[in-house]
Amino acid sequence: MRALGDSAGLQGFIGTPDRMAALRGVCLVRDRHRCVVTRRFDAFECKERYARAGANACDDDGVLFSQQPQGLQLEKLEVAHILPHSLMKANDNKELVC
Amino acid sequence: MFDYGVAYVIDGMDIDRPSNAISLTATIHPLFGAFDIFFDAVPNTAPNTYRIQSFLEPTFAANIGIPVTRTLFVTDTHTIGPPSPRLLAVHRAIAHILHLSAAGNCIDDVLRDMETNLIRADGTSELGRLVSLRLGGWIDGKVY
Repeated sequence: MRALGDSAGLQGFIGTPDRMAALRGVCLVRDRHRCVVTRRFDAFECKERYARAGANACDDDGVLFSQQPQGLQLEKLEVAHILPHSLMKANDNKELVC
Repeated sequence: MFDYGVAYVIDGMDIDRPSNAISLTATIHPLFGAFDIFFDAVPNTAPNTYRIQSFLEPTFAANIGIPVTRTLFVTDTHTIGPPSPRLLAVHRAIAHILHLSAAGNCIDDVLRDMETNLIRADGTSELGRLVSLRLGGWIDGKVY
C-alpha cells in the first residue's frame, strides 16, 4: 500500500473535492470508521457492509456488528480538520494571520 | 509553554493531510470546530493517548460522552500517519485562549462598572453577575 503519511503527501490528487474525498477515505481507514471521541461506527459504512455481507458484517477489527461489546452505536461520520483553512494562511513575512 | 516552531510547521504543511484530520460524528464535529472540545495529551502512557475535555456545560458534555480518555488508533505499519500531537496542542491552546477571552470581556465590564460606581447591591451590575458566576462555579477556572 502506498505510504500516505507525512513524508509522501497526497500530491497525486488535483482539485480540492478530490483531495477532500481522498483525505476522508484515508482517515476513516486509519480511525477504523469510528469517531475518535465517541467510538461510534460510521452509519453509511455499516449499511454498505450489511448489504455486502449480511449477518457476517463486521467492524474493522473483525468483530461482528451483532456482537459489539457496548452494542452497535452508529452515527454519520465526518472528517474534521484539526486546524482549519482560515488559520493556515501566512502573509509575505511568514507570519500567521487570521 | 510556547511551541515556537509550530508556525513553520503550519505554514509549510498541506492542510489536507491525515496529520491534520480526525474522524468525528456529525454531532461532535461542530463542537470541535468551534473549539468547545479539545484534546489534552496524557503523559507517561501509551502514545497518542488523550483526555478529551470541553468547556461545555457538564450535563450536556456528559450526555455526549465527555470527558473521556482515548488512545487513538494507528495503522499496524504506520502507513497512515496519526493526528499530529502538535496540531492538537495548538487547537487546545486556541480553545483556552477563546475561553479566557470571553472571561476577559466580562472582567473588563466589571472594571468599567467599578470606575463609574455602578455597583448595585441587588446583583444587577456586572460585579454582581461576576460574583454570582464565581459562586456558581462557572468561572473558577475548572475544566470539566
